[in-house]
Amino acid sequence: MIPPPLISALRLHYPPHLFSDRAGIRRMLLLMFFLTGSSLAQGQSIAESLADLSIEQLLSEPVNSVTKRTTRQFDSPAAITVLTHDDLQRSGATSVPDALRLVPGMNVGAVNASQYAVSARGFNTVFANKMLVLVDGRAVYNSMFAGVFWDLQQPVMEDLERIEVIRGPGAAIWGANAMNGVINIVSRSARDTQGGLAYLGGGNVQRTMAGGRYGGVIGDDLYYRIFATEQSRDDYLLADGKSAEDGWRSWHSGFRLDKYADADTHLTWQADATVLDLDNGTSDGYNVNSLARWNKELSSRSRLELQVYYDRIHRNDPLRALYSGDTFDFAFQHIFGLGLHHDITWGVGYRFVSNSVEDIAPNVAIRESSFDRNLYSLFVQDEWQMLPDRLTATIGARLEHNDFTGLEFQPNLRLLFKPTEKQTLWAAVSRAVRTPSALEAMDVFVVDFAPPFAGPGGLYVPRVVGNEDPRAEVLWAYEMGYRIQPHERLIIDASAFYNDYSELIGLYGVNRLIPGVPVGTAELPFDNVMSAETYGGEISVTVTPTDAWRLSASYSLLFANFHGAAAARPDVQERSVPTQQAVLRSSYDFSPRLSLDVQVRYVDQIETVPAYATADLRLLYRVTERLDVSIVGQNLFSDHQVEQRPLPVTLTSTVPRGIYGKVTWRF
Amino acid sequence: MSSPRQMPSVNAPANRRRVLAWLALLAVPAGVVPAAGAVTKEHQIKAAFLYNFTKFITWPAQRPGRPEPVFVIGILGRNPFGTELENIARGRKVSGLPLQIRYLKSVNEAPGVDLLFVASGEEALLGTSLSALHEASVLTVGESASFAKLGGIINFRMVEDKIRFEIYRDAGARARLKISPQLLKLAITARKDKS
Repeated sequence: MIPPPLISALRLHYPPHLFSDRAGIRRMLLLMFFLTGSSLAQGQSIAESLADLSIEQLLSEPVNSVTKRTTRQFDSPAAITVLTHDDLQRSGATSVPDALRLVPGMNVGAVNASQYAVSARGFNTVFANKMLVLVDGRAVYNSMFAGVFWDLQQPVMEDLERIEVIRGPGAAIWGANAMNGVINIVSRSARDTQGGLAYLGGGNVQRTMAGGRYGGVIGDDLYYRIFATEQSRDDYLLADGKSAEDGWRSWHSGFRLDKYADADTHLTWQADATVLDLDNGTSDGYNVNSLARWNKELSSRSRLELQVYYDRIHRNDPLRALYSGDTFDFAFQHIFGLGLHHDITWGVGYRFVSNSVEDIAPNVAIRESSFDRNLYSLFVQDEWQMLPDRLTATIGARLEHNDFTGLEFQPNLRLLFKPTEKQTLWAAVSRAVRTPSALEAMDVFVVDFAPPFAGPGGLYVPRVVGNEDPRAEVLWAYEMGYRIQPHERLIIDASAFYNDYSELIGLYGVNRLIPGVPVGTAELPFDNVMSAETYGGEISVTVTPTDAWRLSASYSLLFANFHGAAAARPDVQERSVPTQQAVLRSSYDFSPRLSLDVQVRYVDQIETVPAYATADLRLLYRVTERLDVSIVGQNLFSDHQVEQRPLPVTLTSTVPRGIYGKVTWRF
Repeated sequence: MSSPRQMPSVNAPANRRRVLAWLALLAVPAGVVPAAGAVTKEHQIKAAFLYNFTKFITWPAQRPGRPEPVFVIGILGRNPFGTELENIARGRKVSGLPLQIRYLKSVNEAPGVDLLFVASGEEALLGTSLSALHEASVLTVGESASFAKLGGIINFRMVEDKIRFEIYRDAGARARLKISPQLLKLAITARKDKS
């Protein structure tokens, strides 16, 4: 017997005669399971994002494009992948890094239950420091240890608009550390999250997940949403099969306000807080942040944007230190048309970061408990339509001043050629830098690196120390790409790159011995000790055989040559990139109510971590318009998958096979 | 640091079989028919256009028979938009008024709406003349040549794979609607009289 709400919901979709009798209802149910075909664009995101386009943009929106809103992506002079709201929902990912596994050429490795290593085109560890990660325009890269605390980034997945990933330097626009790529996580305007949403779920690895959001409007034009979520994850396993004791629980809550004062003005104010209880209660962390943005359209070709944010991060990490950082950031941007064929974007920015550190870990000593850093930046970019709709050149540069290495210049040149409406050819050359972290560039941390050895006059412990006169790492990147849509249901997107790195920061060897009691210190300073070339590419093919079925396959290749003194271990570095990665994905709608998503992922060997293949799956059933149920399986091929190699001051554990169920209710 | 235990590799036969089994799962049967109620991309874009038009058009302040403080988009007969328009209406306003979507069976209900959309093939429901609707300052939008012949104000046309629109300014003037020059500029034709 089906409950009445289901019938009323079905009435919306099917001719009434199906409900004339009981047999009809049975027939209806059969139909529901066997009737296939519906638009893959089930989500509301499309309608809403189309409605937010200007009339000029709508005029250029092709009716037959396979995926929605491909235009910008297809005509972008960079290796860009956009995960839409629908992609994110279908992936079943409960965290941003898990969703990023779908992006061609991205390497994502779970380090332990709470931490991830995420990077494109090599150099991926938990301390990955060559990717810039932005959440709604707020940089979440941690400049102290380098790397991103992914466990403190827990946006409400249902309220994300999209995640844009640019592989390759984005430094000219985005700034230092956007060396290997940029990850831009964009949440929806409060106008697009009106009404209520509540979900509840749980499983064997993703223990619990619960959350709610409510959106409404005050007066004519002030939209708001408030949200609160909780989730917890069970312990992963150590390589020997024992529990890693790294389970965690988190709470995340906040609000967002969007005011559309008039047709040309958009104001946003948002704030959220995330609290983490880590490693079964032995450590904790929190993040609070608030951001305000003002957007003003001056004309169809000119726009002003002003953004300020404050971010505080605090973390008690028993293996590293107790640290907290406060960031204040201000950015201004102006876009305007110059003549018929030039669009100029320029902007200025200032960032102030105040850090404090306390000594709590046995292997890490702190020499300086607090320090501040300033960053000033100025960028300008000209998008020049050399031949309208055929050839576009983007010329830009960013000038940045930081406290460690002074002025850094990051120019960029990109060309985009469209031989036909359905083909894009692009090429780029850029220079990007990475400024050293506090760990590398200041006398703050002293990290025990290896067991003591006997030296002149006693024992010495090799200890990693900062280098007070470091230089920034430099990258010259050469990229090209080609996209073609030979048929309305097929898109091929390929990119290739050659990256030339110099001044790479690493450990070289002991530079001095300081005798001590009971043990002395053998100092291993960070230094610019290596250079490298990496080269490779990514290709992805998306096919939609029918409106109800989308298949995508991506494959990436990555080779690395490192040069430096043997002590800097260039050989280990070379083995630390996954030469090949591949993702196969199928999204299939049996009916508007039932969909199945399957993805199979392959990652090549990374140093001591063997190659592996695994799969994720999501089955969604819409019980009514307002209620849906999903079952998600993650990492299905293994119950203890190693994804990252062990590193100092880091707990490395293995990912179990996970299954969870989830019920979502909209009201 | 201890090195992790060797894990079974992808190349172990058991694993390879499992991978193949999963790959087989990817290959679900094709051959489907579009479901009832599936909205084409064309109409998703047209829905966005309807909402956008309201930003460029000013309705007369005095409209007898329209006391309610809502802005209404009416769909006459067949609804090609699925739930697209409701999605747009949720949380959006037109000149400060809540946006409402109504589905009309007969043209007699039409004077109560601000914008009326008529899907192709439904023009017969309009009768022989739109003058009564224009008398009531209803913006009429259609998507066929026969709609244009009837004397509608805005008509969608497909040009290659893009959606364009024609504006019939005289019909708009008769309905006492102020159409912004910006919108007229974007139309493929902004004709003074009916073709």
